[in-house]
Amino acid sequence: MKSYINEHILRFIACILLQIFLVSKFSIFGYAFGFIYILFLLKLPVSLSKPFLLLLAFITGFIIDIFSNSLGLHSASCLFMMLVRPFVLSFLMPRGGYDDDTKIDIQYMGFTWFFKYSIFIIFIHHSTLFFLEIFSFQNFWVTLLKILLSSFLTLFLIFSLHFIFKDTEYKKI
Amino acid sequence: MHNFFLLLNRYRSFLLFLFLEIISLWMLFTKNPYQSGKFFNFFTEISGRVHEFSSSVSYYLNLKNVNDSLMNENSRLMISHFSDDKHDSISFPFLKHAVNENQYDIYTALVVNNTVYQPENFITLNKGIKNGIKPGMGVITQNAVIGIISRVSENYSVAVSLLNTKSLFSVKIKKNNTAGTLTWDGIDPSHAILKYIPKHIVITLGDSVVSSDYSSIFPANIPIGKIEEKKLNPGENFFTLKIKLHADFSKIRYVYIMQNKTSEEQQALEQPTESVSKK
Repeated sequence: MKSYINEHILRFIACILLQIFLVSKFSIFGYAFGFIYILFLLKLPVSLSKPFLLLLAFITGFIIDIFSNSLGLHSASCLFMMLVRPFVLSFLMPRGGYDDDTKIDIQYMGFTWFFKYSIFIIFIHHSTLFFLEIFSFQNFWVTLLKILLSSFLTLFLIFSLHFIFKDTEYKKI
Repeated sequence: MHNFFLLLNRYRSFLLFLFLEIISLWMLFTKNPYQSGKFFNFFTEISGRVHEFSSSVSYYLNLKNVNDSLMNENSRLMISHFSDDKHDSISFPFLKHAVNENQYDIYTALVVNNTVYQPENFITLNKGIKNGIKPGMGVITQNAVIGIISRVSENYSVAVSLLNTKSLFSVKIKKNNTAGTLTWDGIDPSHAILKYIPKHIVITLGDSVVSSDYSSIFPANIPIGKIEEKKLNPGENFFTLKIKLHADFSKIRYVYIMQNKTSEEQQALEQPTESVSKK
């Protein structure tokens, strides 16, 4: 159990460092932005209580906000994403429901499940983020394009991270 | 009463969500780019330190380009040193219209963090309160307006970039002295939008746009860009002009921070006049 918690703390630190030092430094043509830090929130255990999940989402968002001069923006979208997460989880619930030790992972839940789950959550997070940032429907199509391209970039980053660290994870099991 | 607490307990996660979300949205929407509070200064200092570290890494990888820009800067200084005997070694051609030679204090600073693709872009600089930087000072390079200092901590300052959808700059068309307002549409970092130029003004593409005489932050006649496209929407009395900016905002590394020493005097003089005219 302890190493399990350690794993989440490590992922928290790694995701935030990656986001601040690497991912936030580049964008593709000014349309696609990566937000790798939500991987930490994606993978939080199902069994955690909702208020605790919300607090974690707020803290994560706030830290990212401090480093990107956008106080409130990331925390608001992370919170909303965390609010919606239980609904996405119950929508995608496998037969027999979740156990307390269910890991949100490709190995445990299968590739298709994890793909569907992450794309739902990422799309919700990015939509809130970009519309809050612009706060108008003036450039609706441009914003939508940004949301879609950024979602794919984040998804790509999350899956590539997963496949880079796959071997070590198998050894652990 | 018991039922009320049961209800509270049942919706506690949603209530917590509402509470935190309201805090976030409050931070997001009351954030005045020119504010400086102790609480936020603490975070400015932290993020300044972190970005300085990360920028020192990319700085090392970019040494070749930095060298080139330093060589250019050196040659420019040498030319101005030998050709201009009126000012000291750092000479800005647009300063000759200043009230007196000492109207502006100029500090140099290094950019430690900079974005160009967000709707609201900010630039973090490595000079702060210690070096005499205050909110409201102007940030320029040799040939372009960059932004205005908004938050200052002990060692760092954050400037609102010209590439910020909420920033407005007072500019003029150099040829005929027509003043307008420069904004940014949040899309293209190499172009800005110039508004409120009356439609009777004759506009030629390629005219240069410079900072106006009315600003208490910037001296007049700092180059900003060139007119690239003009548009007159039917039924409107003002042109909407697309300006190609001189500065490549994604590559700025060294900037100058200007303090107008007479700006307080100017504002103090203007304030009573405004309040009288309002009555």
